[in-house]
Amino acid sequence: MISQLEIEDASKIWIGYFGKTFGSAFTVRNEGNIVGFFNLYLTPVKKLKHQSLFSIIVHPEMRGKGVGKQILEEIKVRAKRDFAVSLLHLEVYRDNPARRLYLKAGFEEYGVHSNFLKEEDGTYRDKILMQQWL
Amino acid sequence: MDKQDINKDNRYDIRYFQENDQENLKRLLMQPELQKWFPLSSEEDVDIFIKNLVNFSKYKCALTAVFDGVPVGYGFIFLLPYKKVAIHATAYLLVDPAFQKRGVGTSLLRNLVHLSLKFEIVEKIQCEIYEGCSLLSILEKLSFKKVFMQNGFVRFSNDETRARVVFERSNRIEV
Repeated sequence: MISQLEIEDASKIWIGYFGKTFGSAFTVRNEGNIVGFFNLYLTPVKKLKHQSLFSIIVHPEMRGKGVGKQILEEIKVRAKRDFAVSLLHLEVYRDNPARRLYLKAGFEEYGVHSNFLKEEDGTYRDKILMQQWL
Repeated sequence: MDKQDINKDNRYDIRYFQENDQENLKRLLMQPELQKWFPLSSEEDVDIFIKNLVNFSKYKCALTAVFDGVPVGYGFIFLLPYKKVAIHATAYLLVDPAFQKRGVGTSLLRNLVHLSLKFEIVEKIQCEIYEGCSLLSILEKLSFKKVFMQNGFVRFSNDETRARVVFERSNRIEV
């Protein structure tokens, strides 16, 4: 995302998962402070209900302190227990250090979408696709 | 029905999707044979899909193949809303089973590629299919290359899942 409009649009979609329909967007707090977010992009479509893409966001000041690891553990528990999801998957850009976190948490790469994202300077970045069966 | 190439028949044409195509599209999407290749499995799923499509068709991104004035296939491209990833457009194709293997899918996809060229930001067109889908031969004919495959993505029953396979082609290649 590179504009305020895009950020607002992405936030709106994220917030949409808070509601009664899905209830799959969560805020993570530590001593009252927000330290992260996670969201399962659930679908009402029967044939796809068993799987879910998810996103996590860790507050920049809380990175490297185990918050991401805890969130991933929480996602796995909630996905299976509360939403009957058996296949969790995610998308991460190649240079993102979170990729190591996902690998450590047991996610496996199942594909690479080369040159998926184009930066404003014209350079491209690959998208790595990872998943884990629960 | 004769399986000759429909593109040689002057009763065949491709035009932009019109709102009054919805009824025919719904009839097609409700066919179990076609639902094998889509995530849709209920009337509610189909209605949501069509509603989204109708909204998107306002951007002139949806085509209808017609034979003798009657819709026999549909093709759509969806554009991504964020600038960094707007280089991709995603294509969807649907051909009436009675008109399959006559060149409808190929002509629709070729037209979708041409349509995507109108959007200068679009550099690649991608297409997601489920394994075993007959669209594969059309994708290969039009120089689409496999990007990745995800096993178990779609579940038809407790015992049957299928992979999704994503293909893409560069808009730099002539079609």
